[in-house]
Amino acid sequence: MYLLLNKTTIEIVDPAADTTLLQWLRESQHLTATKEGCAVGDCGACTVIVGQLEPDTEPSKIVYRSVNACIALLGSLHGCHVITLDAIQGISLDKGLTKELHPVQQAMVNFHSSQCGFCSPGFVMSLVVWWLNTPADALATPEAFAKHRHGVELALSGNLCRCTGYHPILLAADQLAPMDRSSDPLFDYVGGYNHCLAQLQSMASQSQHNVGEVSSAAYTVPATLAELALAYEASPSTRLVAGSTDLALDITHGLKSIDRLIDITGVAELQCIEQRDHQIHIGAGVSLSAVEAFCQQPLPIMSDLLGRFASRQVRNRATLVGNIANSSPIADMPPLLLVLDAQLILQRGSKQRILALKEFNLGYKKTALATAEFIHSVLLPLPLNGQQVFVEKVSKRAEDDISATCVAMSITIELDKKSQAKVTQINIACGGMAATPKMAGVTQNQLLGQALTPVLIAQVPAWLAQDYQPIDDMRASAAYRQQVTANLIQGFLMEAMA
Amino acid sequence: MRKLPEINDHKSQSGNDSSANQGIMGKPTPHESAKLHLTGKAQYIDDITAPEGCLHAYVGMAKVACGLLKSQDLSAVLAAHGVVDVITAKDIPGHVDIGPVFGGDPLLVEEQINYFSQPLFAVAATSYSAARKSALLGLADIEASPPLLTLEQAQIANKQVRPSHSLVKGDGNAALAESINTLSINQQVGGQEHFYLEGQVSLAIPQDNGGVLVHCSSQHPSEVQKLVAEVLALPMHKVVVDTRRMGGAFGGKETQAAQWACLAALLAVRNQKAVKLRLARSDDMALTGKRHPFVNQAQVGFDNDGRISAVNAELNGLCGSSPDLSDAIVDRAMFHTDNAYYLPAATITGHRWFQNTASNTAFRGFGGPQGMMLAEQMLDDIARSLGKDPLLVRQTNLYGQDKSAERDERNTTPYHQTVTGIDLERIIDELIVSSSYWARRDEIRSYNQASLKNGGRYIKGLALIPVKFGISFTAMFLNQAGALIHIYTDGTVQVSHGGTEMGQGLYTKIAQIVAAEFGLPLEQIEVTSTRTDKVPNTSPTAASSGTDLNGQAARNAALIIKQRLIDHLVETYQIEEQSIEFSNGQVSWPNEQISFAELTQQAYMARISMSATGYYRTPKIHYDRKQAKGNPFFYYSCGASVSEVEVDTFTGTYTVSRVDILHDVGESINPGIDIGQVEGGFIQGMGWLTTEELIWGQDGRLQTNGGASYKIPAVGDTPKQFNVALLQDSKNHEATIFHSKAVGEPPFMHGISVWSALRDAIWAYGSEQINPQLDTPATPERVLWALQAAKSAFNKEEAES
Repeated sequence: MYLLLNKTTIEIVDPAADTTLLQWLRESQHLTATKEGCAVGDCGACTVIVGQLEPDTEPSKIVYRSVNACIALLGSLHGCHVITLDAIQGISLDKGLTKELHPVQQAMVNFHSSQCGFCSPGFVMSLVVWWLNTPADALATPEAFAKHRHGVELALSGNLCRCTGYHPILLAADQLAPMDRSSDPLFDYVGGYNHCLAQLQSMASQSQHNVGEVSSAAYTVPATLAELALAYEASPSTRLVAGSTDLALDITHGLKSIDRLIDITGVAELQCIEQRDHQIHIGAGVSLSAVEAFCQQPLPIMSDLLGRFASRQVRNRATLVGNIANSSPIADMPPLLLVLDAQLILQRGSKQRILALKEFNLGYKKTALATAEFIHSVLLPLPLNGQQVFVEKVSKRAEDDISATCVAMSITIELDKKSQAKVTQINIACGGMAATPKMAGVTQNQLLGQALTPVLIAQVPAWLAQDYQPIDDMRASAAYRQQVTANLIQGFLMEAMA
Repeated sequence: MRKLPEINDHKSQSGNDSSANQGIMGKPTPHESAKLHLTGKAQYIDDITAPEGCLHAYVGMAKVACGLLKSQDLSAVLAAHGVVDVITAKDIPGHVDIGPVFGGDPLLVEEQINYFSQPLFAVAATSYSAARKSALLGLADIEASPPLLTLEQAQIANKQVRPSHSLVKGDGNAALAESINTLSINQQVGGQEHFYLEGQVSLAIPQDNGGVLVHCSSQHPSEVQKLVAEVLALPMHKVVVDTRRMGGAFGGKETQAAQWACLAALLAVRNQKAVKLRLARSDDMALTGKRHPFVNQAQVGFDNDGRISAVNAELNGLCGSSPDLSDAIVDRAMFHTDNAYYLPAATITGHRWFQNTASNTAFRGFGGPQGMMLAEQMLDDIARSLGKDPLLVRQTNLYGQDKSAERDERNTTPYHQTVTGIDLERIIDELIVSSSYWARRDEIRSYNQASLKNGGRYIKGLALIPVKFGISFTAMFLNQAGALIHIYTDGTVQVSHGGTEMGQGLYTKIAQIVAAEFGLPLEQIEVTSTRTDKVPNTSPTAASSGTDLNGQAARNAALIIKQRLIDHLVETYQIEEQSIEFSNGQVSWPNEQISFAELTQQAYMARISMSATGYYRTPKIHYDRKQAKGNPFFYYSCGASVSEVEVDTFTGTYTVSRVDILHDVGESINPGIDIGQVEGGFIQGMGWLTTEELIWGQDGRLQTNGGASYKIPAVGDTPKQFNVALLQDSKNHEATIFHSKAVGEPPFMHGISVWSALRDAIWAYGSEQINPQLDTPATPERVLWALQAAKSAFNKEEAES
């Protein structure tokens, strides 16, 4: 495989399946600007910038994103541009010019944004990407300022700092917001944008193996759907991987050795996200950030929820399908998908079938997937006219936290023949309340066909207690989960009624 | 040196500024390593290029919290890929116990296992991952017994790590009996994980003299040096410890860094190879001590104005499995049970309970915050029980508020120190104005009334809290520091001192102090890494004392050399000593000036020493612990904060919408750095009391052992409005370094205003008669239950009336 590391293309022959980017940078390349704070994607000290060619754009374009190097697998970075902070420091340019600090670094010096400095490299990288991808804005109105701050908070949601309390970092971002960024300050450090683009294009033309063959590489990246299906059928015990934001924890935290992985993100078909008729089709390789961006218009509630999902760095790599396939009881996407009646396209060999998401989870970490079957994509129906959709996630911390409960509801209220408003459709689903993300069948049945009244709504907690018997754990007690879920659903119903 | 270096005139950027001294002091110059931090060049220990063949060490950990280690089978560890050496307690040539004050902290378990994950053996292997993986392969035969995990269990077993101790002033019981009103308090205050971003790490390199050089991320290199020497049975002069910077520490590397340094050193010397030991985050959290949880109980008596008449308090510190620093930590909690308030009669008893958990340790505030929590609950509860605004009752009880009384009459602490030099009245008055406290109090009252009437989802709360924090180590002997200054013949200066840099900006302030004395631009000063071979027998960089102690020592060293240079000038040029000025890189006297560099060359040629050590010890302090009387503190650092919160009554989640802080740092040496300490301290204190929850299982295993389950504040938790100011025109009345005040710990306690504001919101939601119980951390869950309790009390009252 090849990757562009800062300004130099590097060839790596058959990387081990379980080598992380951070390990490779620090141990093999002796590039130490990227720090290890937690090795599980929680702190962001290891944040690097990863650039990838945007598919199907003309002219070609590199899109840069922040990524946790600690949980990105080296093998997944073929054809990528990896920028580490080691590159972004005093350099000599042509004509005897020198370039000292990047504007982000200078702003952070100005505002005392570093104290112990250990998290600083990660913050610089997250802010450099934010600055690169965000148009200049004079922040002339309070609304513009609030929007700017929200954008910065999203960009830094995966970067922990224990010293500064973040305020001086936010002030640095405020100073950066209106500054001109057209002259590519980042690319001066890595040989210029055109150099990077040329390198990436050249790598893209170098496939890792012969098309149509099943690669035997430890880290296999099939290029077509057929290859993927073939590779997985040949070796169904091999784990499939996309962003590795969860799988890599088995390596860095669980200390497991993984001999082989099949990466699905090389399959163009699975990278597809589009709206067809009244459904959004989301391929298995589509990152949560891409879903977040895509849904802004057709399904803003999804984008808002994603703002509370892990961190920017994690969403840049993790996929919606990964969150489903992982079958975690605390997965944050399934509740909303369930109440929208999402369906999955499953594939095994060359055969596909469609399964309702509510049929997918069979038990704790158990799914309806057959051997060698994988999720091809998600079909997500958009809300119908008159259908109201609610979702709330509750956790100790607003950013990058795991839910105590994540509650979603869709409801349609229509007038019946007697002009009485009745519930004609209702779906309720929760995460964190059972061994799987689960719908509230009893409560739904009780509410369906009824006219919503305060007296009826007052009975919701009793019905929910039949639907869910959550557990006590370090995130919340069972009693709290029950109570909050009931409060939220009652709140949703009151709002729907109004 | 045959030939002197060419002189480059290092001119400061301030150009012709003739008062460069004043120009450097008090300026918000960036952190000396800011550019290194932000370019990734700043080296932490894991970034140092290790010598060829460097081994990686790790520890094998106990899977029980309490038991007897009968035997271990480590054959699988030894046979594992890459393993070079495995050691147990039997392989330690010197001391096994590395307890900092009292013992009880074995480097590796000999027999008694006292906490889950306690290291049983250590392994050295050729890679980090080989070391970690092999350390999982040990087999231990352990006779397990049920662990002591709670206060109740420790009380039943009557097991303390140190004896109880009391502060007594007057007759608390009699005064309570005579009080017009009384109330009692029982609060649980949670612990806190340090979550320094750089975990524990040491790199030990064997030396040809049989000794060892240890790069250690430690706040206390001298203690690491001593312990490494004792473990290795070496004299101390064979051991050098070097700490350039830490990636955060917060007290968590005061004693807790030593174990990993000792193990790395031992394995390095045994194998004659460099050895690095770096803990993975989850193991770091399981293996190292935390802030002490406390259970505080008190009876308090007060009059109808809310003026406190008596306090009987019991502070129960949960210390974990060994004394570590717990004696001093619980003492400091007791010293701060008054916070800023005069207690006419008080008995304050501190207990030090044992648990089968990693031994709890220093953490910013060192027990002070836990004691202050009791004071602030007292004040809130008194006010509410009288139907008064808590701020008025706080003001009534401030030290020195009763002007009619004899001096000292309302100024004596429960440990009999007279409080002087605090400016809390002024701080609070100014903060009331700058935060529009009273106007917002009214707005919030209206908002809440409307919200309650309309079945609104949200409720708001507001609180203003003062902080008074005693400055000095309460262990008297630690209040000393040394420094070493070298001046070279190009006019550049190296400063070494006993303090360590953990991000707090100590090196920057030291450079400013030395630059100011010599009238040099900062570029001419290099503060070198803290090494035990430069400055010996140092104290930990702790107790907010770093600049107070080391800054004075560095200044004293500078003054010694400066005097030598002045004497040389007086003799050479026959001039008046008083007429000589050091400023802007120049040394001048009437009608003449030379550059500082030229002066150093003249002095060198004239055979004048340009190296000196400086030393400082804090004056005036004394404390008789037996009598519990004295002046343990040189002075107090003060400030106050106002926090506003908005609470979601459906979920108990909340946001801190606005915070105003006014903090007194005396004459700030560097306001940029000081404001950073105030802001960062506040957020850390807020985290302690809100989202940072430590949970241990029944088996004694720490369940919240990573960033996924243990939630320190994230960027969105920074208040949307965050106004932090330093008190203007302030000067430490004591002769501290440039009349500044210590700043590291005191701002941490401003976080208490968030907790108090949460209680204010909960109170508004329920009965006016009932003070909400809100133990900490005040997680959304605790807040929700408190809201429900408040509402049911209210409903009950309604039903009864």
